[in-house]
Amino acid sequence: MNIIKERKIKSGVVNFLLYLSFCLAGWYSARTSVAVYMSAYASSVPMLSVLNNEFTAFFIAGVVPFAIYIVVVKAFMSILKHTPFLPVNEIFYALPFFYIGANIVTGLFNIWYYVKPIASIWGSIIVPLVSTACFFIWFLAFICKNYIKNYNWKAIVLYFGRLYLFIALLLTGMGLLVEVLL
Amino acid sequence: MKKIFAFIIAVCLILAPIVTVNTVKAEEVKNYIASEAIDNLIKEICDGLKDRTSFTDAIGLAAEKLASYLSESENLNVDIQHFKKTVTLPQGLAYVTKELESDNIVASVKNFDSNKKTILITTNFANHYSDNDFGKGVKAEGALGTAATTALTIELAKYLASLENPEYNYKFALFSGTDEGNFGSEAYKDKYLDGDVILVINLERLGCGYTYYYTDEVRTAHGDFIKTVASRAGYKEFPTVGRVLLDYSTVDDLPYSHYAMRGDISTFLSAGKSCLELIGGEFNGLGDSERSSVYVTNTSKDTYEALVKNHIAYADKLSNAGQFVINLTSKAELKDVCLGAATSYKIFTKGWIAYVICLGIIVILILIMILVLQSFEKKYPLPTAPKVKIAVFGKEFEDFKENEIVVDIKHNEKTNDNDVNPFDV
Repeated sequence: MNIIKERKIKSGVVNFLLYLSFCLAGWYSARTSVAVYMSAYASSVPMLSVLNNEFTAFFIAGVVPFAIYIVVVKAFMSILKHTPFLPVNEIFYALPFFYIGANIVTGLFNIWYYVKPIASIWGSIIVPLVSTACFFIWFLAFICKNYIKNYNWKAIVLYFGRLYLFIALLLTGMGLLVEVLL
Repeated sequence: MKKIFAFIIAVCLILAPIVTVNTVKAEEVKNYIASEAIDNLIKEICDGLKDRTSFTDAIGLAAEKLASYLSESENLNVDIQHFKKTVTLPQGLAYVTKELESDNIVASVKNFDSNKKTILITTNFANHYSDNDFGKGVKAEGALGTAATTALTIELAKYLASLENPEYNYKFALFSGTDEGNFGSEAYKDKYLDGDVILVINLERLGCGYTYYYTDEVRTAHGDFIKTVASRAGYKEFPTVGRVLLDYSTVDDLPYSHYAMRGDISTFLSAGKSCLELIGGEFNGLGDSERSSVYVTNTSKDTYEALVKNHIAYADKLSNAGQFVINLTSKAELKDVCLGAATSYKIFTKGWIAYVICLGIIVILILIMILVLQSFEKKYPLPTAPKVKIAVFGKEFEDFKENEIVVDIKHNEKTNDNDVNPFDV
């Protein structure tokens, strides 16, 4: 944790690691899209080898989630930058470390899906929520302990917790709706 | 002389068990279905029934001819199922709804015993020779796809129908409209499939590459049983690791498909039947061997000459597949492992249940957050702000206490001309 507190790693490196973690987390779902796309639209090219397909899927998988992450984080940084007693830079420097952890856990489950595809039906829905929730709680505990005075913990947990739960509820609700409708 | 005689006896005694074992083995691998018979039939189909395109006039003629091959066996009841299918197809920028017609061939053994369970053996007999409403024709007779498995199914039907007291009843179905959307098997399911069918064996593109078997997405009793028998036959399990899942669903309740389930087997998996798919080829992790130059089904290269040239042992492989089916379906245990095994896992295929679980997790998180916030409120209350009393004049100013902050506002002397006394304004 000293690495985060003392900001030993440059933000660029942290962001690159975050991108790689997004790749790991999204690789399993991307590999099918890549294979289907290649077989449908690149018929003159011999079918991509397994290895090639997996590599392509891996690096493509992280692009969109990473871009969304950057946009959302920048937006919140600009919203919160004038909030008194809130070390915005420190908080948003710490966030990717915990996001990387959550993505690694989600990504490791992909190996299970790789062997047993049917596990991905429930796994791809439940695992990301549980892993991000666990790491988000850890993140809140970390920033409260290190950057925020204890009488402000309630306000911080309320603000960020409510935000996280709202997004989680929104995504789950939309997923459920799509699943039931389709 | 005695020594030589004793030596010969000793050699005979040593070799006797080996010879006996070999004899038994030779019996075990007896050819129930001759490769030559299969090869001849493939050639006949390729020569005489080049056009077997679904939803064209040709399919009816092909069905009649193939039914006549089956009718050569006096132990089979053979029928042609004429079915109609209403489909909406894109035509330029518009969509047009049409009623299309095609044919299946259905057969069952005459010595049907109502006390026995039934095994259904199926294959697709159509090809893509001519244009139809679904696409352009390829002008190849479709030797690998589908003449080879059609010939095998017909020979298999004749053999199984000839058995005097088989373990099971046998039904056979040759479908058209498979590549267009499993329309033939759906029509068959609606009209003929009954509860007595304990196992559906679908044969697809056999005679090339390796022979793979596929039963289900999860471990089942019949899957384990078939694995044992298929492994002895040298067949491979359809590769699970690294399988690419197609973004469309062919089996009900399963949000993905892969190459072993995209054909007629998906109709029967959806119907909750125990299934076995036998499929030939070379499947890597992507599950796609279609692009290889020798697995040429549905292309203009799928000719009889190409089959002979590219797949030298095709007839033997088909014969072996036939023997495998005969061997498998002769086992009495099959009935016990197939019944009731198919639908046990379906709960794990319903994504909405996972979302409901997620909603439950979110509710738990909300409750935890409320408890944590209450605990913070008690444990770390906001520091009370010191009272600020404003006293311009009077007693309160003089009696201030130690914890009170006193701000004394005084008027300073004028230091320059810009200074303005607010009380003078």
